[in-house]
Amino acid sequence: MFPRSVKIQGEQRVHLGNSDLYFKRVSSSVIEVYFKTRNYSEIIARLNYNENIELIIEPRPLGFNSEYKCIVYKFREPLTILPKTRSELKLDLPYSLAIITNNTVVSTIEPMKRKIALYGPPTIGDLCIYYREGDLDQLYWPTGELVVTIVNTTNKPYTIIRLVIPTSGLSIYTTNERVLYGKVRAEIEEHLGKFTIKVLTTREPIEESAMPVYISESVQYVMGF
Amino acid sequence: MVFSVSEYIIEIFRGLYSYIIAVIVVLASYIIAHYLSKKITALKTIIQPAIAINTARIVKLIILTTGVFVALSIIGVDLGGLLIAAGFTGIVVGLAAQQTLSNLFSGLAMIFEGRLKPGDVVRIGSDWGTVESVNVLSTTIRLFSGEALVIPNSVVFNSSIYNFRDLVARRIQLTIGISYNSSIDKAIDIIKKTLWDHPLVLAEPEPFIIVDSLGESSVNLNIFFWVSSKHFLQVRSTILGELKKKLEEAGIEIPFPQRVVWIKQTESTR
Repeated sequence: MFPRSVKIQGEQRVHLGNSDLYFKRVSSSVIEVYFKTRNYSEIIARLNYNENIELIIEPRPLGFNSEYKCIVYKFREPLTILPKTRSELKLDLPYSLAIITNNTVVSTIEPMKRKIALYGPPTIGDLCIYYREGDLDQLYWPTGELVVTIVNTTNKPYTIIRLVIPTSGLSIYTTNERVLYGKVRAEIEEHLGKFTIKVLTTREPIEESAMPVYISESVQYVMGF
Repeated sequence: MVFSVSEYIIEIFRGLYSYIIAVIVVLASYIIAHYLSKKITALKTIIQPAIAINTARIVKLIILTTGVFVALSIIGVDLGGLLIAAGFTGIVVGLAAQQTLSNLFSGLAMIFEGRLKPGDVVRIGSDWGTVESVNVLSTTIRLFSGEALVIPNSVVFNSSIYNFRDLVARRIQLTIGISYNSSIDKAIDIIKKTLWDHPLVLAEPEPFIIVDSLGESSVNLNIFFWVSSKHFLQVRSTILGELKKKLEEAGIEIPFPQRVVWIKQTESTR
């Protein structure tokens, strides 16, 4: 678990679960940031030396400038929701980190090995960040907890294999031990034989005591393809 | 015939009057044509710019021509003869400018049909580029190599056009041949991993690989995967290079065309 923020003083190693960020001073004016796992190392940022370097949880899960507006989360196993029932899932979702100096974001560090997926047809679909349950263990990157409540309002069982979550509506919180996302609610509906899933983000934390890092308005994404 | 001075002066004024009216008609038609043309051109923010601009040109031409014909009839020119002459001239010009007219009508048809729009990424024949403008006689394509390619509209109209407008993602198909000595399963595993490791190759729709044919020199694998449209060329090139490197590293040969010649031995050659 990454703390809410870390003040970088000279050369420093910041632990991110199975990996490290290593801030190495290479000259009087330059600091290099390495991403390191047990058998992998890569420079991910080169910064001007500044006494006020701080590493924080990026307020937006995919970074401020991300061109992707959603996350496709694919479940390891198809999930069947019985008619008129609800199911609560706890998902792991990575978050980005940001390096700030003097209250300005100078670099954003995103989870390694991120993939993209197309949701919908190639003409009108959306390009989304893709996470496959289980693959996240190999990311060597800290994750936050996302609780999704799936409600089947129809009279038929419905099987879900993926969920599309609008990132612009995700709020982030921290406790002393964990990073948490705002709750997400997914409603399965049926109109004239066509099923849709309305995925709605909320600003509701899963723990009352959690401290907000970033609070967003609710955003809805309708899955219907 | 004897004219009195007063009748002569009246005739002159009458003639002058019709000339003044004719000039006023031409001026009025010019002002109306200019005004309407401006108004129609302003619609380019609502409708396709090419349609607005070309419609404005046509409306201007029709109003000006009508104005000139009306003016000519006011000053007493026999329009019947003029129209017959214009008809003959039209036939002669039509035959002489057959190609130009063909381009013109193809251009108008394309503009109103909206087949191509400025900014569309297209492939016409073997030429790849971005549509820069669709004019009444020709279409200009800015090739990816930087040159402007001006194609007569009749050629564009009769060509098969691949238009990649509004495409979020595109599928890439590659064919790679591996030697008959290489393991197909191992090659497919390496290809799958290479595609998965590239962040811009889409995870969904999932890439898939099929054994396409048993060629003369190689077992040909067809590889299908999707990328976002704007990274199409970059990813295609990177993946081709990566696949060659990874397959060679794994000892899988990508053979060049070759033929094994067996020399048949007979009694006389032994």
